[in-house]
Amino acid sequence: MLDPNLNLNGVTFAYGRGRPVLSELTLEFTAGATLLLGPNGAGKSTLLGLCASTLSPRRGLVAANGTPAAGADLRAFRSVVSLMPQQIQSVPGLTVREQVAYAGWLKGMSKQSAWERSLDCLSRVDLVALADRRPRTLSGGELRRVGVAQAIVHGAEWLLLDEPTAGLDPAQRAHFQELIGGLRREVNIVISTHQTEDIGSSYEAVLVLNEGRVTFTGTTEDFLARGDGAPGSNELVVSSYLRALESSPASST
Amino acid sequence: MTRDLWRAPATIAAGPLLIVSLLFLSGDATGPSFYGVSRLAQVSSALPIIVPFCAGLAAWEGARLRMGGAFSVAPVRSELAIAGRALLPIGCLALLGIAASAAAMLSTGPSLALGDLRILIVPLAAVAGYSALAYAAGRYLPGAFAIPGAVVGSWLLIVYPVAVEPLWIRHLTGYLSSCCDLSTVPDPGAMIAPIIVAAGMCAAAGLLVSPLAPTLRIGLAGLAVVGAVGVATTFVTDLGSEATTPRNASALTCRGDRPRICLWPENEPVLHTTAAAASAIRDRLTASGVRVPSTVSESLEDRGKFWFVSLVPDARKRDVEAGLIMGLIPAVPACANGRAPYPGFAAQAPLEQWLAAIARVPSGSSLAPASRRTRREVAAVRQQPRAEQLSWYRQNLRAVSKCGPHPRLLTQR
Repeated sequence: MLDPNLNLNGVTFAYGRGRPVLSELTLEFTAGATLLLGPNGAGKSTLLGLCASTLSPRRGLVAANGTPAAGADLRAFRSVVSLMPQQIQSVPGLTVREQVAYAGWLKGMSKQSAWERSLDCLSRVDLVALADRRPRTLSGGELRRVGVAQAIVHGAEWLLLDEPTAGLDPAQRAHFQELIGGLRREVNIVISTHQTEDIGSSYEAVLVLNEGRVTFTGTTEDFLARGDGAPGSNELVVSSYLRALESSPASST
Repeated sequence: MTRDLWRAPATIAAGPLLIVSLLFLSGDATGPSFYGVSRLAQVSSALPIIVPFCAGLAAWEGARLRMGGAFSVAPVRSELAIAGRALLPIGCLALLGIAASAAAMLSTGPSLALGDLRILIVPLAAVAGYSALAYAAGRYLPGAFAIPGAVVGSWLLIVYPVAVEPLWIRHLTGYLSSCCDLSTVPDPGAMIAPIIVAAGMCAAAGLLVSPLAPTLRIGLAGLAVVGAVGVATTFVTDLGSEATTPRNASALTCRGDRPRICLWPENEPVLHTTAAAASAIRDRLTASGVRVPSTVSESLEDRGKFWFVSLVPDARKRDVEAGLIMGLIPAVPACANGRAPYPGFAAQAPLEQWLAAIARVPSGSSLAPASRRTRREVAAVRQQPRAEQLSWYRQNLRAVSKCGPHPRLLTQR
């Protein structure tokens, strides 16, 4: 059996008739947890949108585990990949549990199995106590956890998280990182961020995107090997990131 | 335990909608001249309540799905399945509202064939069309615009066409409230046209939420609506203000001979009264030299060939007598509705009063009270020799049956 992979092959994408945000992009996410780094406006959300098929490429192909995100295979592709958008929106009139179950139904689950699984997922993100609350009454961190529960409810093989820690306070970030650490044992994860604090030993791979180009892709060790500073220091991470940003396209191992 | 994942406000709205619809219809449920189909047609009177209600809810559902980010998580289910799930409670609500309205209209127990229920497709289609478009509006517009826009817009599109010309425009809306008295049935064109318009609206809604490019989908949606209205128009341009056509004469119940009385089944209670009155009137008029057909019929198809009468099931003797006298006067010709000169109209009342006088129908009958001018004319005519009176009668009969000919009125200045 082939290893799980999520790849883009010659993908070009532009919003409307504007100039391409991503051009002729070819890359592959492999099993495990990958950190997608890049400054604001680098194209990270666009890349994740393409990987989740919420956006359609102008040219090229996206595929997950060999299933293309196009034509008759689109539904199969979407059942394999799940995206947690940057903004978690609450559905007016639904409780937290109903919202999670509804997300499962949207992803093709039956009503019954979505309802049953919703409680497990809320338990995974430590939100069972809030299951009957309205999502709009939750804090930003709690709402992100609802987003994670929504994204994992249907048992996706790929979980794409778009800036999941943006706007969270340090305690919430730590809690969230812990949650992701628990999930990576059962699902392949791609997390986008522009915050270097998120880089840690939890990730097998790092991909750096700058102005729509991949400037680095490789293991976390290779990434950190580029920087200067003491192991585990923020200095090392920042210098590694800045060097990766300046690298020539597709500098990988 | 499984619960409904999409908690819909339509389930809460069901109670208020039913109450308002039934209150709205309560005044229409007692009309004596209605029979099964015409009572069902009256259900469309509740459309100005049901359609805006459902359209507002549909716009809310569209807005709720957009606000909840249902389409930003790459759903496996199709847009149609998602919309269908969200709109299902509204469809059930509309069905319930229309079924309850129909039950209220039929509560007095008029006869009804199963096929007659087809007329309910018209209001259902109207609700579906407006709700689908409202949903699409909610998918793209902020709820603050989409919801009031759907409520007010759908209400205006249902009620306003009745106030504009050409008259056939009103038949595109599904608002069949002008249908029908006992002698008429809904015109098939007036039933098909609103269904076509509703289908066009549904198609437009489908195009608006499709993954096509925005300009293309808006253009195609506009074409779908305009095309559907264009096709629907061909079914109704021949209609006047009422969406009706004569009821099939085969439904008549006929009894007796000379005069043979043919009434609608709903009027059987007045069959004997009609037979007695028709016989007496016919004898007196014939004795005076007025030719009277030997068959009394309620069918509009037979009007001109037979002695037309239009009755209601609880008609009293004086109503029947008045109906029989009025039935001897030809119907206003269609050309008179087209603004052609119709001077013969002036002879209608004198003819009625003259016939009533000859037939010795008492002055307490349900005929419209005669004006002083009419009374003077009839008095003048009755002073003439019989042959002269008959000549006056025939000449004026011709005048009222056509556009153009002037009546011959003795007291006319």
